[in-house]
Amino acid sequence: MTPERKPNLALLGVLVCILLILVLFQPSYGWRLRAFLMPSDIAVGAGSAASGSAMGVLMAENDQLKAQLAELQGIVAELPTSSPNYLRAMVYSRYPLNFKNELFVNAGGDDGVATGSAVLYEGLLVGRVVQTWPHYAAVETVFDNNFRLPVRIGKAGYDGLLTGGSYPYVASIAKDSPVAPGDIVMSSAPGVPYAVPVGALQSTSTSPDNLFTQGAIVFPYDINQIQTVLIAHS
Amino acid sequence: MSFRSLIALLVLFIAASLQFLLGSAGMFTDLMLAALIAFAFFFEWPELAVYVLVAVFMIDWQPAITPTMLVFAAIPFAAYLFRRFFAWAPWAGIPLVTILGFAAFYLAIAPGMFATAAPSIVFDVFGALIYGEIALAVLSRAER
Repeated sequence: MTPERKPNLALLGVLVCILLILVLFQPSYGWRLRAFLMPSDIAVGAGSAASGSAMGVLMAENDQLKAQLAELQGIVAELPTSSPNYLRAMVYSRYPLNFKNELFVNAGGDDGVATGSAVLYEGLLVGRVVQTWPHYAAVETVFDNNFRLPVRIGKAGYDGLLTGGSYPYVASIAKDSPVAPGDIVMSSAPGVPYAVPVGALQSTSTSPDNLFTQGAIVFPYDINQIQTVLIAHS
Repeated sequence: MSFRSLIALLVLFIAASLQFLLGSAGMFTDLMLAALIAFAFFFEWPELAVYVLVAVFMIDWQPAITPTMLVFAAIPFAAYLFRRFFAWAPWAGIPLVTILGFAAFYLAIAPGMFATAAPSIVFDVFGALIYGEIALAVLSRAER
């Protein structure tokens, strides 16, 4: 286990300095290296996910239409008078560890992206901006354990709280609310465009404390395949 | 740079590639950290610093040094301090330090996950244990 010879400290010192400079001032080279190390069909796999999964696109469109229908039928009076603008951004990288589910995109504060901005994919809300830099932003997705978002469910707009995680679900639905699998789940939170679809209820159950109904959500996309998103900006 | 150093770099790059591949499929296991912990049993700290920085360079996902990256970088050096206790049996020391290191990593960054996402932690550690033993075997052969 002991080294056979003394390491060349001068060489190692130079290497450490070069790496420190790269880590601190040129991290984009690291992202390129990551993209290089990732198998090519994964690194550029969004296209295959989007084009190869026609069913996913249709499901997303279906969710959008359901949300629009619910929006028009039940809550016309509450529609915002102005629609937000959206900015298209590329997904640079994903949080590589187990702690979070975040995306890193190539639009930031200088582009009008602000903390809390809604992030959409195929018309569905996939997350919110949690941190911005001049040209980059970090997006917390609905699959992050810390993600919380007030939502409304179905045409009647029953209230619930979207709780993020590996398997996101809607919690705190009033027990007498007749929600059912297939009902659309849409945003209803300050700072997020109203009635943006998030997904659809997959199943419902009673919460562990027996006080509320909760519902699992099905999503018509694979978060790991997303390559471009739309960010709401002022 | 010795043959063993080149092998170590290869082990690290393979760990990165596998980790990113699995991560893109929604399965997270920190193979790079596992490899670095194994490296701590073979290399002196200056060379270990190079591997740690290479790993941080590849894994740091945003243009800022985050607490997560600092803890990530500190764990291999903690393993380096522990290795003297396991000089007689690195095959046992590496798994033990891996478990302790990953536990410390989760406790420092996301302690709540022990309650909310225990299975994913188990998967993470399990993958790391396997890769750590592979790294040990490869580096042991390269040492001869």
